[in-house]
Amino acid sequence: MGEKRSQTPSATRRDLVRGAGLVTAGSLVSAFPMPAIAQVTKAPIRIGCLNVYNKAGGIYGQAIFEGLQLYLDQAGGKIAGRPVELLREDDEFNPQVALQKARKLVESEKVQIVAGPLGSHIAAAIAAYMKKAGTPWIVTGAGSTDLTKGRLPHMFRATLSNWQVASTMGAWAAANLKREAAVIASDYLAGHDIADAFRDSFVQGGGKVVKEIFTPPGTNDFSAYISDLVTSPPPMTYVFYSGSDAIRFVKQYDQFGLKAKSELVGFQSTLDADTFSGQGDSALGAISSSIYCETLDTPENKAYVDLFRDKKKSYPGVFDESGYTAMRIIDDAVKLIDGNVEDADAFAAALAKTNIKAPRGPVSFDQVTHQAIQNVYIRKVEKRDGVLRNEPIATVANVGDYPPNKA
Amino acid sequence: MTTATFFTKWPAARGFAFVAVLLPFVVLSPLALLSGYGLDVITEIMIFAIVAVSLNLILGYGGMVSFGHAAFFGLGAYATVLISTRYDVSPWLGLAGGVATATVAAVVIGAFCVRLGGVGFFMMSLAFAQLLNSGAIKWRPLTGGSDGVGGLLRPDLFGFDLADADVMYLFTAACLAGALLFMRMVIASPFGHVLVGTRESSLRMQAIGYQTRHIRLAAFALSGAIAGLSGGVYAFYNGFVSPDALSFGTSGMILLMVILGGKGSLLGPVLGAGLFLSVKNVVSTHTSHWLLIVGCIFVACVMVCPEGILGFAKKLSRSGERR
Amino acid sequence: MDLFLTQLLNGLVYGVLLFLVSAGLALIFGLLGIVNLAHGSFFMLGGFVALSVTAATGSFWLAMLLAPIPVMALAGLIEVAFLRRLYARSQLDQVLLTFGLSFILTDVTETIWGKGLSSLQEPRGLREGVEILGNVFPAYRLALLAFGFICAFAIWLVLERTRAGSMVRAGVDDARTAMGIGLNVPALRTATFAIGGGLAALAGVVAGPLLGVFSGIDVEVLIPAFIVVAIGGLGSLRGALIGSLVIGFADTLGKAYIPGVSMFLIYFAMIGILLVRPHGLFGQDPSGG
Repeated sequence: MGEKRSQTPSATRRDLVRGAGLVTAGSLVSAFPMPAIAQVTKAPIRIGCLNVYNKAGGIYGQAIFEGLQLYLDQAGGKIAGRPVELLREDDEFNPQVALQKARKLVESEKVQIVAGPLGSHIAAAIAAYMKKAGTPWIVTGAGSTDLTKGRLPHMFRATLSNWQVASTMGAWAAANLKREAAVIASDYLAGHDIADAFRDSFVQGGGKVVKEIFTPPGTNDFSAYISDLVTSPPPMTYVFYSGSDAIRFVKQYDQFGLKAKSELVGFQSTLDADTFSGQGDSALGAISSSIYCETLDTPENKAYVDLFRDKKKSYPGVFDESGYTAMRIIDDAVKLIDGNVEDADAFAAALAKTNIKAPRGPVSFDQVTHQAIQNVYIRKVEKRDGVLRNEPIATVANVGDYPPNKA
Repeated sequence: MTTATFFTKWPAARGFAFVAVLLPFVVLSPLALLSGYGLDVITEIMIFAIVAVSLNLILGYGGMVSFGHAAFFGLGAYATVLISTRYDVSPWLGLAGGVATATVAAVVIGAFCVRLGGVGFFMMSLAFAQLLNSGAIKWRPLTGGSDGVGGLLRPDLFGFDLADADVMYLFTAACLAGALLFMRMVIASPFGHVLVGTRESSLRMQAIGYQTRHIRLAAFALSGAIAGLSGGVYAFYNGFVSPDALSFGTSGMILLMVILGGKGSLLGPVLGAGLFLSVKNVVSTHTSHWLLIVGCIFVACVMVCPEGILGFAKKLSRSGERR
Repeated sequence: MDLFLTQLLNGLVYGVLLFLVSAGLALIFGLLGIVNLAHGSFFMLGGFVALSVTAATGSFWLAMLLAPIPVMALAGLIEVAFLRRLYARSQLDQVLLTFGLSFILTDVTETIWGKGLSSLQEPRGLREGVEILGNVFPAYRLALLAFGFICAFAIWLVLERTRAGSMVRAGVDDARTAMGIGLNVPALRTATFAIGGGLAALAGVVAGPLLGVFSGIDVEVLIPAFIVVAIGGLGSLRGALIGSLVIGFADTLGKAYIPGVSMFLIYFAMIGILLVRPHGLFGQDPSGG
């Protein structure tokens, strides 16, 4: 049956016995033969891209995947001389399905690396399994603050943590914008995670949260909430929505004339390159925080944006860049161990040494929690040449992980 | 011999003898052929087969089109996880609690639904499932909201650890076999005949003196109990549960499995679950267009074999014999 | 303006929006007996076609006029190719067929227009707010309110007061007799299904500036539309209007005053009404069948 890697949980003692005993049965299963010896050097590196690709959230999963692909194409489809295969699995944004697909990628598809997922609930659902499997796991989307608390030895979050982005905004807003704010967010865990992070640092900076509203995910009509805010408008409204909710809220906020009365401040997903086409001018002038800003004036970012805009008309959003940089991080680490990605521990050690200048700026990893340490940008939506885009108005350098996660 | 002739040439009695001989091979061969992941896939198929079998009781035999069957599946899963983890008792008690919770819910919800026929039933069952789905998302302290709730460890069974894929597989196979046997008993019983009677003509059954509403409710409760069992096993399987287990999409999927395989036949739903999940599993790896393919299966199924694959096979073989 | 009055107005607007979304669904069920789970897809397609039309011409009004046409054609085609063969079968078959079609249409939509999030821009002149008693209320929403009632009136007028309407109703009430007196019942059915699909597409266009245009909106609108139709009485247009308003008010006032349970409110309303009136507020008991 070829060689079984020690980190696959399926390789139990009885499997080996069974493999020896049932030669004919075994040959039936190994429909695709595994070249046993040649594999060490030139066999493809298989990366499982576990994400949501359809319906709600599909836009972000797709962006992450295309980001990975974009970097890979640029690198000639090879890393350290080994060709790379990206295997897509749709988690359907359903944790039960995701767990099944994670098993499939690790045990059946024999991937060496798992990249994904977008949903924090998905990441939480597969964490225990991924820990047991020991397969290197690059988190490309899920932002829940708690995820890095588990300190999985082979997990690295190459993208935002909610705390990083939201608490930076809270502190900055208290110092530079208004002292009173209403908070309105989607009523699921990410929404509460982000609202808590913003509130804590905002209050610590001397701000006061005058109202908190949580709305059901997939709300069609925000008029009831917005009318409530309009009657006694807070000086500032901090908002977390993503996807269709972000479109609707920002548009309706503007339509009801609230934008003129209360400064619109949001989480990165609420006001990002991929929401502007839906929000239109309603987004203009709004402020948000993010680990990435498409108009950063650095050579790395300019080169990336040019590359991206060759393929697409629009600017890259945070998840486009997350996918791209995740593959860059993988590339560097694999090179460092001469392509021997099968050695999960060596690969993890190489990942931990990451120190790159990505389009988003410098990226390294927290040595304890494996959260990416990176800049957080305060951005403002501007219109240039008829195109909406975020422009950086402040930079908070090298923001690390949520301190209690490290303690 | 084609599958088509297989199912018809063997009359029920001989068929069962045949199955009894065949069964050990069917059950044991995956154990021999497959390792961890492959067994997991089959285990999941069997879990959904159980819930499909349970829906078949009310849909295929009782004529009640439920678009909310995931409610009982999800409730069973939630109760299993919550009872086992919150009260720190054996997961077996959790599973029992899951079945009990689903049964009680089925009695309550059923009492509302069985008053209505046709589309009203459909709407009512949908409303309750959506209500529970919203509840699971909203009631975060209990359910963990959209993240769901986990931490369930698979228990031991007679000294065998269910954490072992083989043991889990055999346990699930036993549950499926139990569900099928139970279903066969129910269908063959006088109760089963009366249930089919209410499907064919509610008025006639009433005229003979049956309380059709009570019969429908009893079927609904039984169906909910088995769905709860499969939900509980699903919770064992994953170690956690999230609101998706109660969702519109899950209800639709269960419904499709029954229709695809063939409603109103004992093994149809099992076949449907197996086919649907296998196709999805294979297709989703190779193309991002699996929605298209699943959609086409639906359409083809309705247009070509409305009685499901089993029904289609029977029809084929019947016309074959005539020739 | 008093906050409560504003919320009532919000509820009214949302109710009318729901009516536009559910009118086609009610029509198709009422006249053809089909539970159309692809209704949300027609809505979504309407929005996307409108997106293409506005991108090409810049005119929202043109999009409103043109977008329903290809969707009507598609709906007509679906009726001829599939549904026509299912009338004699159980409703379950139609449910499954349209459920499957909704999957296919989602995939096709994503292939053509991508997975991105878009929305339609309100037509010029309706972008500003209107000052009502001290607060800004979006002009577009007021226009939507008027448009919804006009649509309701127009549909009623066509069905009840025109020859075409009476032909359709005759075909529905008793297909055999209708054929006997020379009505082309299959063509009437095709037309009805196409018009229902067109109404959904029209709703997709006018809702575009509020709800956005993206893949996944089909399911988001389908469930509320179903609830509305179930409450109002399946197949009753008047019921759909009343049901929409009930849900519009319940949902909006729930969000405003009892946010903790607003998620459940519409389901409670649905269950409660179905309990008291199993066929909905204005539904006819199809007695026996």
